[in-house]
Amino acid sequence: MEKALVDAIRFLGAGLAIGLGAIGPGIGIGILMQGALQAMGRNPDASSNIQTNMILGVAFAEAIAIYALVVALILMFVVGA
Amino acid sequence: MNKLIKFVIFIAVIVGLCSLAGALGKLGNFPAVALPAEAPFSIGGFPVANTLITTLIADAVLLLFVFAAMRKIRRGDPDADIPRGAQNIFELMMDALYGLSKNVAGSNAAKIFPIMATIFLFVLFANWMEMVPGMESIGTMHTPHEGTGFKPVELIAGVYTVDRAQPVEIAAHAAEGEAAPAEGKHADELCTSCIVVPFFRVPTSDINTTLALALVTMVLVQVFGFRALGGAYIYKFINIPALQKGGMGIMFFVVGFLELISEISRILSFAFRLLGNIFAGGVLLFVMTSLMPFILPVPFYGLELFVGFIQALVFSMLSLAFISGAMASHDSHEAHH
Repeated sequence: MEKALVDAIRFLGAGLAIGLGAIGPGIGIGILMQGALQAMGRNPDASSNIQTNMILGVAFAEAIAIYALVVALILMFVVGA
Repeated sequence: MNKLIKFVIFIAVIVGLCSLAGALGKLGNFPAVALPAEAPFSIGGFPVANTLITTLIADAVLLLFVFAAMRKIRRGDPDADIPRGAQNIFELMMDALYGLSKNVAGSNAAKIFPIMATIFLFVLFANWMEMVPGMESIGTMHTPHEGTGFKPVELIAGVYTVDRAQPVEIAAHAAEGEAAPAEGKHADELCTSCIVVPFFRVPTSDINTTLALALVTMVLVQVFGFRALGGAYIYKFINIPALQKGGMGIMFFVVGFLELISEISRILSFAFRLLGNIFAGGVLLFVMTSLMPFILPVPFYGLELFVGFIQALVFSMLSLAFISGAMASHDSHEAHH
């Protein structure tokens, strides 16, 4: 196939990989934050403990987006570049 | 009245700087976006990557800071009881970090704290190198291996920049001829199609740095696990005792394999979380700076200050949580439920 076409599909794939891959973690982090903020509002004394666990949870949810980022980076810089 | 004059002068200076920047903006030194770290020079055939140089600088700055903070305590100065300056900041940070590790790891906090604090301080200093002017923009002129180079323009005697408005295709023979890095500083050896290879680049925007940190952390997780639980640590992954129980035990055996896979994927997510955040931050900063050199980048510098801190905190906190998770025995974990 023509190189320009292959490149175009590659870039499209990279954009779709990270774009679609970020939807799930975005929703997840939103729900997580909602829960954490509500918990902090109800029990402000426990907020340091909640904050620690919240950041851990956000990091785990974010990891899914990072796998999408890895795929996008591979498409951009490794496969056929 | 006086205030008004000061304000008018201030506005005039800003407008003047902006128009000057607009005039220079045509020659604006826009670093090439490259994921792998570049090597501006080599010592004895060994290419020295720009991120290696910056890593060493970050280490040196961190060591100087710690020695400045510890000076009075090491001397046994009675003044040390009342911390001031660097010592005060350092004690504040250590206090907060130790509180965090006690919060997460409980009785194991003292064993894990040195490692998580080291990771935090190193990653923090490495991330904040991004704020230093000249980062990723001052370097030697090289002919790019692929892609398009730009026409070099002389700013002052011996100092060059690239003109982004004048891309120059690399001639095939020139690319081969200049495979050895040419010293861009000398006019007689100057490339015709150039990119700037910076001397300094943020260490954590290089996959090698973040992957090394991630590997060290995950190996340490296993080391701490074996030291705390002995040979029984391996049952977390290959759960033979559960297999003998039959029924649900077979499921625990399969879950052990999933644990093994997630351990490997943690290396990946550790490395790419830090890389992605800091690399994207660097790109954001120089895109903003090239759009408008004054005022506009300021809030983004604030944002990057925050992102650098949060990423350092996340990296150290995740390593803390993983190590304390590896040290907790599976039986005590079950007893919790």
